[in-house]
Amino acid sequence: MADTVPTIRSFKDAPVIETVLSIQFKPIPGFTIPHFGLYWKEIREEFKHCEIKNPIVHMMEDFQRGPAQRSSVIDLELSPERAIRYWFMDHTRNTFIQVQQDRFIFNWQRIEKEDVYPRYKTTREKFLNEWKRFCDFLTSENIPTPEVDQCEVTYVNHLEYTAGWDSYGELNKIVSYWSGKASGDFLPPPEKVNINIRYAIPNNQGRLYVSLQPVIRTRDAIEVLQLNLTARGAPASSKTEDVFNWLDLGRKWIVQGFTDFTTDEMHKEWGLER
Amino acid sequence: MIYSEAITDAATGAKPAIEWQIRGHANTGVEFYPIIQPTWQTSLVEKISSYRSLPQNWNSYGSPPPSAIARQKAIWFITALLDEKRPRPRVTPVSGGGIQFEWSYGEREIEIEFLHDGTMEYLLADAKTNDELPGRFDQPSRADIGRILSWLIESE
Repeated sequence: MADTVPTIRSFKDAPVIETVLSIQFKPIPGFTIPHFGLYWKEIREEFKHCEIKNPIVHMMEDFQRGPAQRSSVIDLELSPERAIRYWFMDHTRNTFIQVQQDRFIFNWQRIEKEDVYPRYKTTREKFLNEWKRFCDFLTSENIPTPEVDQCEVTYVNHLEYTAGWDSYGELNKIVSYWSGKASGDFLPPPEKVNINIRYAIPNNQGRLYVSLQPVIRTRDAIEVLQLNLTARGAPASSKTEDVFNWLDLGRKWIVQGFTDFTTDEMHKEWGLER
Repeated sequence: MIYSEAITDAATGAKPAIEWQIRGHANTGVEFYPIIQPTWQTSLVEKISSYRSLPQNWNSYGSPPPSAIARQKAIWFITALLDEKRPRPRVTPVSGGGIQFEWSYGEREIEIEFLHDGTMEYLLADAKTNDELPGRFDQPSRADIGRILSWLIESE
């Protein structure tokens, strides 16, 4: 099952500029800073560049209270080691692996306008291979296999103003939820709009977060509307098959959610294929 | 909102140079600056972004509009090195495809200019003593900018 990908909606010219597949686990006992270097040695032929980042907080979807974040367990346990995150980037810097004591992440990002978005099937296959390689590395170092507690899928889309719309007064041309109509005629069209929505994935499988915000894209200092979709939840177990089944579920919610959230007109603009 | 300031690459214009991630749960690499907050930084970032719409010869002296790398660096400067507590600069496009920041206080004035190729130059001027100190930054830190802004008000 972990090697198959369900077929869902796809767009020929999707506005996606980044995809992120993430596996979060309990901090691995014995996985210390020197191991990051040893792991890099294993993958360095493909991932030549390394950057150090601040760690991401440990996030858990709690269905009693809502989403919860906690500081890195490393910090709570007053470990003498500084919590840290590494990026290992390929020569194009389009693809990179992020590793920290409690996460393993695989990113693809569009840097140049001409960069071609690799389909989920390709990204998933690469991530599966890298996850297996990471687990093999841990085994070779006599480090326990990660106890996975959450999986996460994120797609970032950039909607440019000239592609099908050109002001927030026309947001209804993009967002199917947005009527653009007021009860009276006092308010002018909005100057900017920021939307955040949370959906529950049935049977406590996780949540889908949709956020829409105006941003300046730093690559070219142009204002775009950024549409982020993140699905997060717990897999049935730490087995690779279950983990990747959850990632497939998360991706399905993102793609179907994106399709539901946006209008038919924009689907035509982006070349809806099925 | 907190932004990390890691400079990840020398800015050549071909690749993104700066990480502007919202810290806390940023697992993405895409670099962006959200512009809905009511801050002077947001206003200036939007203003600088809008310079791309300036026509050729916008100043009647044949100048091109500010270049993409000048805009990118100027936005980075605002978001990574200045904060809301700092005095708000005046920002203007300048001839040759650059962008200038300017602060004045009493007899002192600071100008920081991003040239069309992204180079960052500054000039500290004191009208009282007629001193002028020009210089160039490669990769200034927040502390570097803090020092020159402190110089501005030291004369009082």
